[in-house]
Amino acid sequence: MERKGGQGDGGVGETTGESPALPGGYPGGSRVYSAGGNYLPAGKHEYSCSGYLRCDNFLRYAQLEEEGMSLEKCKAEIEEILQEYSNNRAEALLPCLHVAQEKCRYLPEDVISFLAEKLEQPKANVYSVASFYSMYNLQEQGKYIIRVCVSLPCYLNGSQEILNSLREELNIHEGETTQDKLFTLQPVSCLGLCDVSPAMMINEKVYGNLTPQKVTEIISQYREGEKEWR
Amino acid sequence: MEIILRNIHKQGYSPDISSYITEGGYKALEQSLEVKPGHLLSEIKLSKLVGRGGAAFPTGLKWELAHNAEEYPKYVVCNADEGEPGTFKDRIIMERDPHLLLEAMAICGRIIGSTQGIIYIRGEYFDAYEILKKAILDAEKRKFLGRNILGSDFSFNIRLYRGAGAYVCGEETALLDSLEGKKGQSRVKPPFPTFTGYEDKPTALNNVETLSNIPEIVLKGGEWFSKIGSPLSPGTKLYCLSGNIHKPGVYELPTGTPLSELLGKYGGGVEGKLKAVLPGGVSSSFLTDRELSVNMDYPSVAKAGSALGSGAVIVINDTHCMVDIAKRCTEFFAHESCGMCTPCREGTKRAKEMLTGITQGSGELSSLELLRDMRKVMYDTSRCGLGQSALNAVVSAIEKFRDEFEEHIAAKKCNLGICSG
Repeated sequence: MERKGGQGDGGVGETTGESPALPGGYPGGSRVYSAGGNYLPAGKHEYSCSGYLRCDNFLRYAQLEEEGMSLEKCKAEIEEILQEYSNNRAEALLPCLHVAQEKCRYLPEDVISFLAEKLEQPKANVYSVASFYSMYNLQEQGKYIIRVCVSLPCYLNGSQEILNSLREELNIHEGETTQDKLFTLQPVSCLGLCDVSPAMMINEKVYGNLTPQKVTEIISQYREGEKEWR
Repeated sequence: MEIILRNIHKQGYSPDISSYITEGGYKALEQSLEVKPGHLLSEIKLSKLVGRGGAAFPTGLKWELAHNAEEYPKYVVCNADEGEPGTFKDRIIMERDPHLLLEAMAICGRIIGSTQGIIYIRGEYFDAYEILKKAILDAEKRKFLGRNILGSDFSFNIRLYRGAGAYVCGEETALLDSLEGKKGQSRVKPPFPTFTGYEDKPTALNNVETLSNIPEIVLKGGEWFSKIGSPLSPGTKLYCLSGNIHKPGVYELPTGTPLSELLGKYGGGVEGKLKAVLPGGVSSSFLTDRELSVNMDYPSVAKAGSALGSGAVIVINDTHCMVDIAKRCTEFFAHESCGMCTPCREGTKRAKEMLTGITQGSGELSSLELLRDMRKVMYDTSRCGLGQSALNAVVSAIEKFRDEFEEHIAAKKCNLGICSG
C-alpha cells in the first residue's frame, strides 16, 4: 500500500520540493516566511524565519526523535489504557495506537517496541496491525491531516477538482507532507459525509460542499491561524 | 411516518438526555424491565424486523439464537463502522439521538441475557464518538445504564471502541477481530457470532439503524411494526441520497417506497439526465431509468437484480462515463480488501487492472467476459461480503452499458472525454 513506509526511511527528512537548508540545521524543517510575515510556498521564499519560539519547538521535537524520546510523550496515556484493559490486554492495542498517534503525530518505532513488550506480542504483530489500518501512520505527519474523500458520491460531485486544487495549493502529492510540516494530504475512502459532498476533514473538523475556491480559503485560514500563534 | 428520526426532526431537539426523556425516552427500557425477556423476544420476532446493515437477517431470529446460547458472558455489539460509500445514516442517529441507540442496546442485553454492550464506531466519526461518550456517562448518572438499572436486578454497561479506518471492519466477523485488537480480517462462518462472537462468546451484533427500531417496537408492539411498509420486510428504512441529486440527505420512509418517488418527491429530482442508480452503495448493481418503479425493500430490489444493502442510493447523471465509474468502484475494493482470502485479494486487483487498461485504451474485449466469470468465482469463494459483492457494480455496468465499454476497447476513446487514453 502506497501510504505505508518502513520505519526509518520516512520520517523527518523526507519531503519534496526544493528548499535551501535552514540555519540550525534541524532535519527537513523549512517553515518559511517572507519579510512581511506572509506565508509563501516552499521554494518561493525570500526570507527564512529564525523566530525563536516555533523553530525552538521544532528543534526540540527533532532532538526528541533522535534520542528516541517520542515514547515519553505518550507513555503515561498508554499505561493508563493498559490499566483500563487489564483483563484483556490484547484488546488495548488499537486504543494505544490511537493515543500514541495523537501525541506523536505518527507511530514511531520505539512506541511499537514498547507496546509489543507490554502486550507480550511479537513486534511484527504490532507492526502488522499498525500498518493494516489506514488511520495509523508509520511516517511523521503534518500538524493538520487533510483527509479528502475520493469515494463515488464525492467523486460524482467533483472530488477530483478538490484534490487537484489541494495538490496545487500545498505543492505536494497525495500521501505527502508539506515541508513546513503543517499539512499532510491523504485521499481516503468514504467519510460518511456524502450529503455534503465533496467533503474533507482537517484533523477532526469536517468541511463539506467544497469548491476549489473554498479549499483555497480554508487552507489560507489555517495558515493565518498558525501565524497568529507564532 | 418516522420511527428512528421522529425525535431528531422535532424543533429544539438536542442530543441531551433531558431532551430524550422529555420525548418519552427510556420508557421502553423501563417497560422491558417489567416483563420477561421471552415476551420481549416474541414481540421482536413478530415485528419481522430485518437487519439494516445490508444482509437483511431477521433480528428476532438472531436474538433468539443468542438468547438460547448457554455460554456466558454474552455480549451486545453495535456495528457503527459505517463505511459503505454513500451511507451516512448511522452518523446522523449517533450524533443527533445517541440515547436511542443506548436504550436499544440495553433492551437487547435484557433479551439475550447480556450485561456488556460495546459500540464499535469508525475512527473518522470523531464527533459521534464524543457525543456517545457523554451520552453513556449521562445515562449512567440517571441509572439507565450501569449496575441495577432503575433499581431492578438487571445490570448493563456500554463501552466504546474506535476503529481505525478499514471498510472491511463493517463485516461482522472482521469487526469482532478488530474489537479484539487484531487486524480486521473476516473469520470463517459458521460458527456465527450468535454462538462464537466477541471473545468466542455468544454475541448479538447489530447495525445502528436496526437497533434504533427496538424501543418503538417494545412500546407499540411487534404487530404494529409489521404493518408498516412492505409486508416482506416491514418498517421504515433510512435511505441516504447522494450523488447527482438536488436534495441529498437521509430520508426515513416506509419500506417499499418506489425508487422514482424517492428520487423525485424527496430528493427533488436528478441533477441533469439520469443515467444510473446504485440503490445500495458500491456493493450493489446498477439500475437504470427503466427500473425506477422498483419498490425499495429488500426482496423487491433483489428481484430487480440489485441489492438494497445499507440504503445508500447513489445517483449518477449522464455527464459521467460508466467505464470510469466502474473503474472507481474497483479501485475502492482493491484498496479495502483485507487480503485474507485469495479470490478477493487477487480478484479486486486484477479487476482494477483490467478496467484501468480499458480506460487507457489498452483493454481487450475478452476482459468483459473474464470479469463476469471472476464475479461468479469471487461470489462463490470469497470469505465475506466484501469479495462476494466487489464486482457487482462492474458487471452490471458491463451488462447495461455494454456499448460504452466496447467503444473504449474498440475505438480506444471515451465519448465524454473523461477517461485518459
